[in-house]
Amino acid sequence: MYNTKKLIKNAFRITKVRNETAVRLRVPGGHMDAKYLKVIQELAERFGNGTVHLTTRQGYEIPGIKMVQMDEVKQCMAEMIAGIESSCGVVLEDAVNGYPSAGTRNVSACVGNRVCRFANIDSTLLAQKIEKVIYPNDYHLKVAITGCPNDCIKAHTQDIGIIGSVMPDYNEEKCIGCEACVDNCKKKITNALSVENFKVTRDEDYCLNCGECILKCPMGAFSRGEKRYRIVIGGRTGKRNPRLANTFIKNASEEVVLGICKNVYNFMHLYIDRSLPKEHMGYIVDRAGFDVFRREVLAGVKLNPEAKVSEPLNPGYFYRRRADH
Amino acid sequence: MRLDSKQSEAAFLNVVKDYTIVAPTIKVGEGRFSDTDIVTYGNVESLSEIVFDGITQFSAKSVLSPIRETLFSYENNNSAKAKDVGVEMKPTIVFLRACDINSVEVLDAMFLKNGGRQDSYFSGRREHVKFFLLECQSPSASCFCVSMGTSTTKNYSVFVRKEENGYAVKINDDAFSKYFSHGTKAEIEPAFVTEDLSPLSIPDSVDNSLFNHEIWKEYSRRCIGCGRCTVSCPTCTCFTMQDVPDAEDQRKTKRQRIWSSCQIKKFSLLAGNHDFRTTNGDKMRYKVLHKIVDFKKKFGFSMCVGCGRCDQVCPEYISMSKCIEKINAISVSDGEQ
Repeated sequence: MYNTKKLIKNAFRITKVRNETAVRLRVPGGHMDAKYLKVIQELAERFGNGTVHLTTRQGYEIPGIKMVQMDEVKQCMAEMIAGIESSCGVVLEDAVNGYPSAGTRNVSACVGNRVCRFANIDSTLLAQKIEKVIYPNDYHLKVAITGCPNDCIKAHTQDIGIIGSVMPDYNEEKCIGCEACVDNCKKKITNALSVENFKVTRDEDYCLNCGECILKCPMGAFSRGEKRYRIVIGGRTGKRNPRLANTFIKNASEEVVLGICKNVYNFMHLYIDRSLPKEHMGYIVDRAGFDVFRREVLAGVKLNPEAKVSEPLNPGYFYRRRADH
Repeated sequence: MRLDSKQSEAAFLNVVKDYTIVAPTIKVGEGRFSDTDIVTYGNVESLSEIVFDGITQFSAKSVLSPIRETLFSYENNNSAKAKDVGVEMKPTIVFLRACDINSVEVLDAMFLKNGGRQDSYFSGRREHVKFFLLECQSPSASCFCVSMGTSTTKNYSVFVRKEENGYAVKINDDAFSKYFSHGTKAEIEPAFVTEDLSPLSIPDSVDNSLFNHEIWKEYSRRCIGCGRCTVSCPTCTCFTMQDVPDAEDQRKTKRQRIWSSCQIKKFSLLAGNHDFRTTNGDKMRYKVLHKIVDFKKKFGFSMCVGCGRCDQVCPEYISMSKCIEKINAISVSDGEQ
């Protein structure tokens, strides 16, 4: 018979049909070489029911696999999963045995600056760097990267969401005072820009660092400075207390992002409720307290000068809960 | 003359001692979009920094007409005691293609032959500027200089071509012979474009009925009025005047001439909030007709030089040459009626 715990850890699923499973393939950053589609096709047609599910986290799920064939499936996908993971810098020592863990979910990402005009960062590349830091790991953690505050990947629904941002550089000498940046920021964003004495001033307290002023300026008077990241935490869906994430750190450097992603596992390890089969990071923060979370995840992390740590989390949305009786 | 790479760079070093050099160059990471570069005009100090292919995002017009130029300053709100800032400029060489050299004629017309008085700020710069020619072996997809009659020029000091093992130069202005004396003698002639990829005919005049034609409504729907076309254009010269208080000392004020354009907010806004060109289609009509018809009525040649920059920079993919084609189609069908 099968050990369901081991099987789940191996990225296979216990399905509705007895002795039938589905396997999930990770695609960190949601971007991969097209050659792997052949492997997906082969897996689905040789072992599955000929269909493929595109998962919400940008992986592939191959349904309808007989559990007896799991070893053959792992053999078939070994080269692909080792190839994709090694491109992130993760070494799967024994790829023929499949994935070593499935708790930490696929790190998803929007299409980022490889395609999108709004993106401030290469979302996929950062996802791959984060994959290297956090995978394999058994703790259940959802991380996603989005290129700009439009947040197409829904980073606000993740345990840790990373939002690409940019420090705008303003060169007064190139500014013609057309106010395209000011009007756009007022209408679409946070009204952080204003005109004083025929030059634009930016209120850093309100600026989202979204880069729209750079996109709108016909003159290039606003240009791209350093890449920075907004780290949002504690977002979740689910049956108890869904919540959109709050900003934890604004304008963090990449180093800070990677340091926090690494440290969060230590925090979870210390404070997780082991009576539950799994617990989302956000619930652990709620119980342990924001200050404890902040202390643990920032341990040994040197904040860059522009980085700004924000206030505690919002309570989220509660389904109506019947009183104890 | 032919110079190998070493000879050329050595020659260029001597030129740099005497001149500021402005040329197409690549600015890494300075593109509008993340992780993109732009090719545009900038100061260079070696030949290897110069990009010899393609169209620059902006023209070099800011050398002659700075984006923000302080004309004079005054104190205590007393403009009667204004202090002329004047023009201080090191002799400058600008690397230009034929279309762009021809575009300087438009600037000359606007600043020196317009309204019976020369603009001293412009002329103060103009006399310090020499042109080095960049050739065009083939036309780009968006340019149409042959149609505009701006594909050739003799108005340059030196022509420079990048070759496999160095540079070829043709010297038109003896003042530059001394810099390039170490090369081997060779007859060098620049290549000019002889046929546009999409040749255009330019109407001599247009009927007033064009003013309210449907085509401008389409541009009202497409154009977002961002002004990229005009700020990248080598022949747009419109500016606004602003009295800008000194950031440190509020008693001091400087009067600045700042680029503006017909595509930009408030350009046609008058006292009492009257604005007679409010839709983006109207602004497009004003721009296009000025470029190909109205300027010509006054000065005898077209304002547009067909460099194709406006097509390249438009975020909405609006094309100047396609607009000219549309105007032609209307004029022809009107003529037939």
